[in-house]
Amino acid sequence: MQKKHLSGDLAIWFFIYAELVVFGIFFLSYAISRRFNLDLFTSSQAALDPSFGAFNTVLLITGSYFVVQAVQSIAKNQRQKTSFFLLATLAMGMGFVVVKSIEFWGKYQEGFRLSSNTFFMFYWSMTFFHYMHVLLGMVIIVAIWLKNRRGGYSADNYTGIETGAAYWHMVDLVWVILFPLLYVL
Amino acid sequence: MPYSSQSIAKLYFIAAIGLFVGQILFGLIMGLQYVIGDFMFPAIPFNVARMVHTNLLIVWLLFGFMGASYYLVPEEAEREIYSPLLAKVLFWVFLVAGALTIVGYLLVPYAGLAQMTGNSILPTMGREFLEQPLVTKIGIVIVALGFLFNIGMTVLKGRKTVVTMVLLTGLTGLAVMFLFSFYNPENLVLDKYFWWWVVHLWVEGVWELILGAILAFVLIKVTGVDREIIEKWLYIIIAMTLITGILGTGHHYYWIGTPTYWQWLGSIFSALEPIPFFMMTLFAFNMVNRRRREHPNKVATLWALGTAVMAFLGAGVWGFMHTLAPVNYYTHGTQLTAAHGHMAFYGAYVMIVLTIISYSMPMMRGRVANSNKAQVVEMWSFWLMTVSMTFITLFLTAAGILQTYMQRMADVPQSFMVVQDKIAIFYWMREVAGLVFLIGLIVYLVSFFVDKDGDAVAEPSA
Amino acid sequence: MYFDTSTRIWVILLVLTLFSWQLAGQSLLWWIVLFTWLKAELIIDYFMRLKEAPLLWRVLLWAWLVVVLGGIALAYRF
Repeated sequence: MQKKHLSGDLAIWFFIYAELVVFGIFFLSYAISRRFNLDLFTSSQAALDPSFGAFNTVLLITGSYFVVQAVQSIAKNQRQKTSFFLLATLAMGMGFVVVKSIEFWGKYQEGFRLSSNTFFMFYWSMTFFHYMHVLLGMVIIVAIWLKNRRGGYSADNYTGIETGAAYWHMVDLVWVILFPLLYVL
Repeated sequence: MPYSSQSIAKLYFIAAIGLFVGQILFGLIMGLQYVIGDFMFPAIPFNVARMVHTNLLIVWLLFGFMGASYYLVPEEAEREIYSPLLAKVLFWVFLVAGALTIVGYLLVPYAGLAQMTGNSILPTMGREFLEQPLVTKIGIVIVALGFLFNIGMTVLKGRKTVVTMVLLTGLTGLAVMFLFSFYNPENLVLDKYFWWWVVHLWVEGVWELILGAILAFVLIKVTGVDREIIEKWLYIIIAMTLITGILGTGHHYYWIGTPTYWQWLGSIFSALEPIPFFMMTLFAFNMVNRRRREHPNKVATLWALGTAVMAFLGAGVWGFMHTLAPVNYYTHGTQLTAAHGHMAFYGAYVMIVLTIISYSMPMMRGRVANSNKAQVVEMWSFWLMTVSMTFITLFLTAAGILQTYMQRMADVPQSFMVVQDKIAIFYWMREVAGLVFLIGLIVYLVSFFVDKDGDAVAEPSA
Repeated sequence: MYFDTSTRIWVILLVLTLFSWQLAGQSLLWWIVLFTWLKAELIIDYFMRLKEAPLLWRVLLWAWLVVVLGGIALAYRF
C-alpha cells in the first residue's frame, strides 16, 4: 500500500478549510437565527421551490463525479479523456449557473430582496456567495483544461488537476449541506 | 542591488522615516491632551493634533509603499525603473504638497483653510482621515497616477511575477478607492457609506495585498525558499483577504442608517478577517523554518516575522474583539477602537514598511547587511517599539472596557466626561508607553549611523 | 457489469439526494441530517480522497462536519 498523502497541493487545502469555516459560520448563523424566528423562516421558506435545489444538487454531484473521472484518466495518461471529463464538469457547472440564475430571477421578480427579511438575507447572501464559488470553480476547471490541452499534465505530474478537483469538491460539499438547510428542513 | 534605479527608494524611505518621527511627536502631544486638555492650546488644539497624527501616518506609509515598489519592482521585473526622473519629480511633488498641507493644518484655522483652498467648488473636506484640502487631494491623485504609470510600465515591460502582479493590483486598488474621497453626497448616511470605501477598503482590502506582496518579496530574499511555494501562499492569502475584507466593510454599517442585513453580513465576513492574517503568520514562520540560506541581515527577518505576528494580533484578534454587531452595539467608538487602530496600523503597515527598509537600506548603502553592532541596535529598537506599542494597546483596551461598562452597560450609566476622568489613569500609562515608543524610534534612527564603517557582513555563498 | 468505486458513490449520492428532496416539508429532521451527513462523508472520503490522506486532515473535516451538522440539528431540535 502506498504512503498516505493529500490529493492536490497543500496550499489549496488551507484555502479549502478557510472557506469551509466561512460557510460553516453562515450555516450556524442561519440555524440559530431560525431558532428565534421560526414562523418567519417557515413561511418564507415556503416560497422556495425545492426542485430547483434538488436539480442543482444532481448537477453539482455529477460534476464532481466527472472531475473524479478526469483525475483517474490523467493518472492513466489518457489526456483526451481527461479533457473530455473536464469539459463535462464545466457543462455541469454551467447548468448549475443557469438553473440558479433562473431561480434568482424568479425570486427577484416576486419581490424578494436582501432586505426583505432575515430569511431572505440568508437566502441571497449564502446562495450568491456559493454561486460565486461555482463560477470560480469553473474558472479553475477552464485553466486546467487549457493546460491539459497543451499537454501540461501527465501520469507523472497531475497535482494541478488534483488541486482543482479538490476545490470543485469543496464547492459541491458546501452545496450538499446548503441544499437541505435552505430548501428541505 | 542589481539595478541602479532601485536606489530611488532611498529618497522615499528617508522621507517616510522623517514623517514617522513627526507622527509620533504629535501622537505624544495628543496623548497628553487627553489628560491635560489645554496643553499647547491654542497653538495646537486637539483636533489639529489628531488630524496631523493620522494624516502623517497615512502619508508616510504611502511614501513607504512607493519606496518599497521602486525597490522591489526592478528586481522582480529584471529591468530598470521605466522613468527614474518621473519617480524623483513625483517624490518632490508629493513631499512638498504633503508638507504644505501639514503647515496649513497647523497655521490656518481649518475653516479658513477650506475657504482658501476652494472647498466650496467641490466640498470634500471635514471628514475623518480625508481632511486634506481639495488641491492636496488632486495632487495625491496626480502623484498616484504617475506612480502607477511608472511602476506599471516597469512591470509590464519586464518579467512578470506573482509578487509584482499582486503589488500592482494593490496599488491600483489604492488609487481607485481613493477616488471615492471626492464623492461627498448630501445624505449623511451615503456620505459615511462611501467614506468607508476609501478607509475600510484601503486598510482591510487593497493595502493587505501590498503588505502581502512586500512580505513575500522579503521572505523570498531572506529565506531562499522556492518562489513557487511563496507565490502559492501569497495567492491563498490574498484570496482570503478579498473574500473576507470586501464584505467585511459591513462591520462599519451597523448603526449608520444602512439596511439591517449589514449586521449579519458585516458580522460574519469581518469575523473571518483574521484568517488571512493567521495564514500570513503561518506562512512567515513556515518559510523561515524551511530557509535554505542564512541571510546575514538577521534584523530584516525579525521585522518580517514581527509583522506577521503583530498584524495578526492587532488587525486580527483586536479587530475581532469588537467586530460582531451585538458586541459592537456597546463598544462602538470607544477606546477599544483606538486600541485596535494602534496595534493594527503598527503591526501590519508600519512594520512591513520598516521590514522592507531594514532589508533594502543596507543594499542601497552598498552592503548586503549592516554590521552586527548596527543590527543589534536596530533589534533593540524593534523590541522597544513593539513592546511599548503592545502596552499602548493594552492600556487603551483597559480604558475601552471600563468606558464601555461605565458609560453604556452599568445600572446607572455615567456621562462621557465623567467616565473620561475615571479612566484617566490609563491615559497616563498610555502616554508613558508612548514615550518609550519614542525612545525606540530614536534608537531606530541611531541604528542607521552606528558603526557605519564597521565590518559590513559579507554575503555567504548560498 | 463492473462499476468502479466513484461510479457507485455517485449513484448513492444521487439516490440520497432524491430521498432528501422527497422529504421536503415533512420535518423529518433526523433523516435529513443523516442523509446529508452520509453525502458529505462520501464526498469527503472518496471524492476529495481524504481516506487516502493523513488522518489529521480527515479529522479536521470530520470536526467541521460534526460542528456544522450537530449545530444545525441542535438549533432545530431545541
